[in-house]
Amino acid sequence: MAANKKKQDEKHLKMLRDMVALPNNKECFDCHQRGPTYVNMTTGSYVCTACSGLLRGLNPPHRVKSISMASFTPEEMEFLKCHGNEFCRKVWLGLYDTKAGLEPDSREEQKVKDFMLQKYEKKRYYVAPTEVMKDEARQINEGALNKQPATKPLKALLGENAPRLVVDNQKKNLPPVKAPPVISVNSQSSQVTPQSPGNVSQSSKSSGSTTMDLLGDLGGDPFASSASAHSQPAGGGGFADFGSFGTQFTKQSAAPVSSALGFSSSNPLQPMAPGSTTSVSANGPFSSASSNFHSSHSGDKYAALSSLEDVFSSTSSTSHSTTGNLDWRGTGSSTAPGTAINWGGGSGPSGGSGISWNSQGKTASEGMTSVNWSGSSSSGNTVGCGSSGPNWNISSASVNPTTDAFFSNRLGPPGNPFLSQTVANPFGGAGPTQNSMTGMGVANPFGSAGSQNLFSTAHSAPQQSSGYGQFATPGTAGGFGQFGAAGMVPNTAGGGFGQFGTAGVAMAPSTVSGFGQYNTPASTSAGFGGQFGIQNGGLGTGVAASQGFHGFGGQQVPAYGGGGWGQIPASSSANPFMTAATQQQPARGSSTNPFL
Amino acid sequence: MGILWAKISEAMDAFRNVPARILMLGLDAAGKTTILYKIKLNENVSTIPTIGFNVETVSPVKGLTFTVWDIGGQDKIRPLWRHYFQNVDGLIYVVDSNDKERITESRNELFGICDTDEMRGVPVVVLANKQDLPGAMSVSEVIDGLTLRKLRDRKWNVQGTNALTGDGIYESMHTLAKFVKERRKGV
Repeated sequence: MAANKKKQDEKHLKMLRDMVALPNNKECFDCHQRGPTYVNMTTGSYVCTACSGLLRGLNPPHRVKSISMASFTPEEMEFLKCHGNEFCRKVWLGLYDTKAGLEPDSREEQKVKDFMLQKYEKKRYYVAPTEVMKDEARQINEGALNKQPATKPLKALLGENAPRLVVDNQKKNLPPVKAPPVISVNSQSSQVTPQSPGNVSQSSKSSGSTTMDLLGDLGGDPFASSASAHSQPAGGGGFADFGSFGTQFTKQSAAPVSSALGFSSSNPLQPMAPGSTTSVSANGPFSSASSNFHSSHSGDKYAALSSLEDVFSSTSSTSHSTTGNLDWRGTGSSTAPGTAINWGGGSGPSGGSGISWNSQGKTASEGMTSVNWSGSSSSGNTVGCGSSGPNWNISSASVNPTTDAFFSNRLGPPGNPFLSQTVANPFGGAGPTQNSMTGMGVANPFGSAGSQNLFSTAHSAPQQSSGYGQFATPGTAGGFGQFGAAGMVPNTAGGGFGQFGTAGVAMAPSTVSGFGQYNTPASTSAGFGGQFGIQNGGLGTGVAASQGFHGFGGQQVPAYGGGGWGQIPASSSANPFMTAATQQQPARGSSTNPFL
Repeated sequence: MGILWAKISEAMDAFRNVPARILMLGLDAAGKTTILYKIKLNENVSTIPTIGFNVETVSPVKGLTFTVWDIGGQDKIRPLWRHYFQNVDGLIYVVDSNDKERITESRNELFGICDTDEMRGVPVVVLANKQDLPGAMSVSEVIDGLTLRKLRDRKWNVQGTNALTGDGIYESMHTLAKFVKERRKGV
């Protein structure tokens, strides 16, 4: 009996919380203070503590109950279901002319009290409730009650918006890609379309769709926000994969990388790749990696990642449904002078460009610079081409190809940021061989710049333990984690994504290059979720980051011009962002870097 | 000589004036906090639902000080009442006379209190509050509603009150003071 009662109480409490989460119920009915904690059982409205006290003092007194400290009978719940602030507004303020008088502010107790007298005792604005109003209120409330658990709503939101924005754009906009995207992050994505212009529109649209303030929901994780807002590849692709990393790796150790990650190995662009994909599978890089991963890393890192995983996974799923495209694919185009941002720098032509995350053929064609996440290849490319995007993965020479457990394949499918180590692996960054970059020491955004690749190095590698874990841990040499921790680790040598967050500080003065470009709304969003780009203009700012990253994969800043991070060969600085000043110099002319 | 000594000790008692520990309980929105501050300040305060408790030292009666504990009465925090039961000298139980629907609930709470070991024999003064409201139950209705006549192991008294005007409150305090003194003397 007691247990039943308790259960019922819990159920009622949950229902109440759901109902109080409705926009109209989020503020006190009588004084508009946010966050009502009491229910007026006489009228069915939600009120704050102060007003509940006043209501008790009315004549006749209203009955108020605390949401958290009272128990409700089923009848009372039924009553509440067909009431609520909106209902009460129609009834108790039905005749109230909102323009004529100002409803009292919560700070003026006497006014609130006086208004209550008018409202409830004199019923000056009272309109007798009708059944229609009750039904309406009931519908609203039941809508709230039936909504999916808290974890799912985001997805639901994306489900509505994402498909239109992403899929259509991409399909229509199939760029005249010089180099088709090599690596498709999403295995599932049927179409590997470089996201160029379409992406841009996407980004803008997404930005336009206000509802998607992911940061708020996700607690400020830029990735999360970006991902959710912009549909990203579901399944194995993209960032989402991060989350899945542990799982996928472990599970699919045997499986070819492409499948596991969802990258399409088939991409022509992957210069290194052809062999690589096979090699990958043969080598079982994943498997090895996975094993290494686990062994090398303590649970902590995983744990750290777990949060990211959630984000990614969620985002990926959404994007998945909507768009088949993953921006991750490195396209050969990246190598082209106007390169897009390559997440998985797959630029084959340039000579084993790193994996371009979003290599976009279009962008390249358009003369836009691509940002290479995988620095190695890209750097090489950039050097050669003269126009390189920022290299995300700059594989430092220090990185031992062998060391990368993860990406153990140098050949590894170039297109796959994760997999191809040799090629610029954004994450692994290890692939020194192919990448001219090695010398560069450019920062690998994901991995710590020089030596540390988050993924690659951490796991297998001797080098530093920076691994996935780093994602979570801000302080470490640079991991994704730093993303979240905005501004926390400005200067970490290992600057990885994390630096994104810190961008403001770490990032150099030079304007154009850098994430900033990603961020620039105007820029087309390429793969990564595109959301990377921070609309706010700064990944660097932790908060801003939320929206940021739109650009990540896909956004290309036209202004970018040839200047890329990658171009900065000399800079030993690990983080493209960090070193931005030097690296970005070429780019300067173009757009302002939000970070800077 | 003995008689003299008794007189002296009684006087000393009064001088010592050890505060009596008084508990004020009742359902939520019965008016406990309003009454407390009416006694303490003789003012009408605008109260909010009590989370936790209010405690004030008052001396409504000459020669006797009460430490009155006013404990929040919302249903989920009623189980916390018992933590205040130790060494209680008297109970003020406040009832909303206008709330006929919950008089039974109030009755159950009262008997729940009185059935505990700590509260055995503790005198009870019931305040039938909100007598000013038109539909308020009379004192006798409250007695019936609370089935007070079943409460035989202690002294009890019911007083109609109006916390806003203070009507009845001081009378009830006098009654309570008398009960407390009698109990201390072991009468």
